[in-house]
Amino acid sequence: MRRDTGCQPLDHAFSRRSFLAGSALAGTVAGVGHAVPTIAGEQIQRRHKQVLQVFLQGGVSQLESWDPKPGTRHGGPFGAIPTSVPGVHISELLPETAQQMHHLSIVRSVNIKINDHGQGRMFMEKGRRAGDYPYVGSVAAKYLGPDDSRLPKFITISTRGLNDQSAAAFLGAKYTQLKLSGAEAPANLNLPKGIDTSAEQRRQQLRLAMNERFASGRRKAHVETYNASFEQAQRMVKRRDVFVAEPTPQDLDRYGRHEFARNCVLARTLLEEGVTCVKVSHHGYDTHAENFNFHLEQLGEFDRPFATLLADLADRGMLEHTLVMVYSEFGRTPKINVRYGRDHWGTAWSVALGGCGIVPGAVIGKTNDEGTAVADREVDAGHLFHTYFSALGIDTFADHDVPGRSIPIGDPAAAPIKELLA
Amino acid sequence: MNSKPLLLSVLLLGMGTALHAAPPATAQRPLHTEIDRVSGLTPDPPVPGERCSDAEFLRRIYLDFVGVIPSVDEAREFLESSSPTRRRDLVDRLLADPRHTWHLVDTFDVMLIERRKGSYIPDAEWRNWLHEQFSKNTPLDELIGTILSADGTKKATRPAAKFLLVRKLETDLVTRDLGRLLLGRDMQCAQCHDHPIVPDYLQRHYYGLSAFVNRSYVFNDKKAKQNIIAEKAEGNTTFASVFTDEKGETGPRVLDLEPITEPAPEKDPYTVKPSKTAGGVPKFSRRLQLKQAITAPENTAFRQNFANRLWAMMIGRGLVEPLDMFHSENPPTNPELLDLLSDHLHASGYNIRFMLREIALSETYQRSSRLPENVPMDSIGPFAVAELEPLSPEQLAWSTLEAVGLVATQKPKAVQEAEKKKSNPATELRKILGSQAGVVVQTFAPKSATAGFDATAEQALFLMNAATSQNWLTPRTGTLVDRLMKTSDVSAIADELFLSVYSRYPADDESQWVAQTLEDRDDDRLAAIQELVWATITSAEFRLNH
Repeated sequence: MRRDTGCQPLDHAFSRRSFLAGSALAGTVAGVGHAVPTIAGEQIQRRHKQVLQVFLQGGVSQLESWDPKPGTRHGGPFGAIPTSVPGVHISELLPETAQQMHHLSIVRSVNIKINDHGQGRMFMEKGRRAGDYPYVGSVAAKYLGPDDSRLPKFITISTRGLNDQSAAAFLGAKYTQLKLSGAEAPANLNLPKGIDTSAEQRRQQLRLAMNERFASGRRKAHVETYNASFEQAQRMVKRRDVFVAEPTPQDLDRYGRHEFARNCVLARTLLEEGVTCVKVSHHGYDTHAENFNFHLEQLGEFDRPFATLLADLADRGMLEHTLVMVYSEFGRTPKINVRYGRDHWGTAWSVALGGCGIVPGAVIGKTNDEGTAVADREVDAGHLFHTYFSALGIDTFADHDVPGRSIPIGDPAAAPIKELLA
Repeated sequence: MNSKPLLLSVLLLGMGTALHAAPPATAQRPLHTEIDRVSGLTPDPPVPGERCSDAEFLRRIYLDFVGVIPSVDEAREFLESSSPTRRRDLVDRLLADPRHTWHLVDTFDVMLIERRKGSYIPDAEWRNWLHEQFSKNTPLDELIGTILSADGTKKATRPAAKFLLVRKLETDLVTRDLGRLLLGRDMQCAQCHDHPIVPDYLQRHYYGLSAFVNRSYVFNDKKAKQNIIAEKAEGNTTFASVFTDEKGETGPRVLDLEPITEPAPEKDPYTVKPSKTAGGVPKFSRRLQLKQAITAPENTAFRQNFANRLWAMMIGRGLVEPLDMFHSENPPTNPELLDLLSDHLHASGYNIRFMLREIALSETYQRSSRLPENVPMDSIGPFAVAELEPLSPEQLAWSTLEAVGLVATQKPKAVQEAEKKKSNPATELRKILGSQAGVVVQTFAPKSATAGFDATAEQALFLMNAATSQNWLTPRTGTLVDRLMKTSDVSAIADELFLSVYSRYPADDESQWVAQTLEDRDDDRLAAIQELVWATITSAEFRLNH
């Protein structure tokens, strides 16, 4: 399957046939084994597309955000407000986001049939219900942008340690996430005591000289891989300031001064630095009790920095090549429980997305009048995964670029939401 | 078959039987010469390409057999030997080395558990159980059989239940790993439909394996205060393709072999009925059929899988690669060789040490990783040149501690402890330096069992700037930096450095680098020596098995 996203014509040759040819070769010629076929890779990387993931951890309520049902049985106390897209209304808890709605589209008909945090999160990240598959961010890191980027290609900013060890799966650790717990530098970016820049340079040169001697007459792939890890490390040391820079007073005024606001500024900086996928998490949506107070508070914190970030990306021309997705592991039950809470609900909820390759201002699918079921255009995380990468110009029905294995990028039993693709 | 080295190893082992002495009845010639014939190394070795030097062999066989580079003394001793049987002697000496048993523990622990964390069976209990098995050279089919049939209720075999318990008996996870690790077939895609590209992987194969385990579950036995494996007597395995309207039902069955015959259902199918206080024990257990079904002689996938894995452990690359992608469109690079190895694995009674020894003695194993200048790599034949393979995290950790001299400094203490506890120094050393090694293992552990060489910036930053790696360079009595500081002769410094880190003597140009570095920094001799040690332990020659 091949399609033009309209976002940037991309005549890539990432087809099953070219992959199989590569792997057959690897099977018969000794020495080719570790060299990944690069034709597909090169062609995809010509244009550097990026991804911004905004993860609302715990499960944001669709009724208090993208799919309000004021005045209905389960609607809750909050109203709906008009947005910059005529006819589209969202919760009054998101007034600033509403003004940026022309950059976003909403899918209101997500049914993942999962009500478990861990499983829901995995499905949303991998586009597969189970199994050893890479996350959206690792897939993006693998196929978008050059491998010699100054910073790691997939960076997550989260103040909570989620157990995310295997993000890259078979794609390899090069494409796994660098985890930041806020605006702070990753570990080991400072040279040790007693080693100044010139000592550092000398020891690195010595290492390289040894490697060059060793590699002579030997297979080069592993030596190059190993050298590349040091190059990336040295680039990160040089870019240490990026992680710890204090936002400008103007940005603090515009975004806010709290943690999530600062993390959004950092996300913008990292995207400007060329990081392929930046994932920023906002926590505290698992509202089994006091759903309305918590959403008032959490979305009150979320709204302005997110809307400002979106506006900044649009103003700077970055939205054209940056896919934005706002998602959770699931939504929340329409039924309000005795503690004024809403519980886990994977059955009928919403995500928002926009930017690169996505039709702006659309609303896809709908729930019934009381929000208790999907009424039209049901999709799950498999369809969303296909949609993200189709929007980014990747053929999701092709195989992953992994030697000797035939693993389709997207679940072959799902497909992109075509009407969302620009 | 009573060759001299064999007798020697019997003496060294101090046991009644040589662990690797199991010549299969069918073999006319020793397996290692057969390997060379089938791999095309004899009678005419491939040109270009050459036999590896003693130094290359030394480092390789230490890494492959004892999981660590040789100490500087061990390196000197071997490199100065002129005995015509020195390689064979070293092979037999290392097979009897206590470090070899621990290396097998590391290798099979990682292979079977894949670095999963789980609390049901503590790692130490599981590893000690493995150690016990490898100490007495338990046949591999028996070891795997115990792993598949232990339910965690009997003290002697409880640790073996870790394979299933650490996967929480999650049906799909266990099914996939039975296929991957025991049959060499990753049938994950066949969970939801016949594999779209690999025509050999069918949904019914996946569910045939699944049917052995999907009635089993983890039961928390509150009385015994432990989690065990229990099983229900009902629950059929059905499947439907998400692509087509194909549906199926299957009983327990390994690939295309005969399905397991099940007894007619009884009115009361339980020995112990499952309840809140008791884990179910059915009269007929599907799970307990696994051991026989997987290790049965007619299931050739089992022996091919492990022959391929043992080959990959030694050569650095399987005959089928990836190791879990056996299928007709990904044939072995040398099918005859895979058959030879599989047949001998089977005929030897699944004797791991016999197989490793024979592979080590082959010329195929003893190739150099280096080609003469200006010969393009893609012009060479199979097995002409040895593979380069990254050290496993465990090999890297222990080799680093050996190279920088931390092993040497702790050796006296380990010997003392071993006497006190009647164990051996290798075991005690692992306890003393275990947490230091653990930091390296954790940093370098691949994030996925199916990914290739994972060299990350995070790891490089650890080697460059972490307190741990700087600590390796601190001069303390007996460490490499300390020894080099106390050596005045420049060429002696170069020798000691290269023997300690690379297990070889330096070439002339390398000795000159050492001299130059010392000269450039004659204001700060310690800094110069630290730079040299750092650059060698972070170099590709150290990071790779070559």
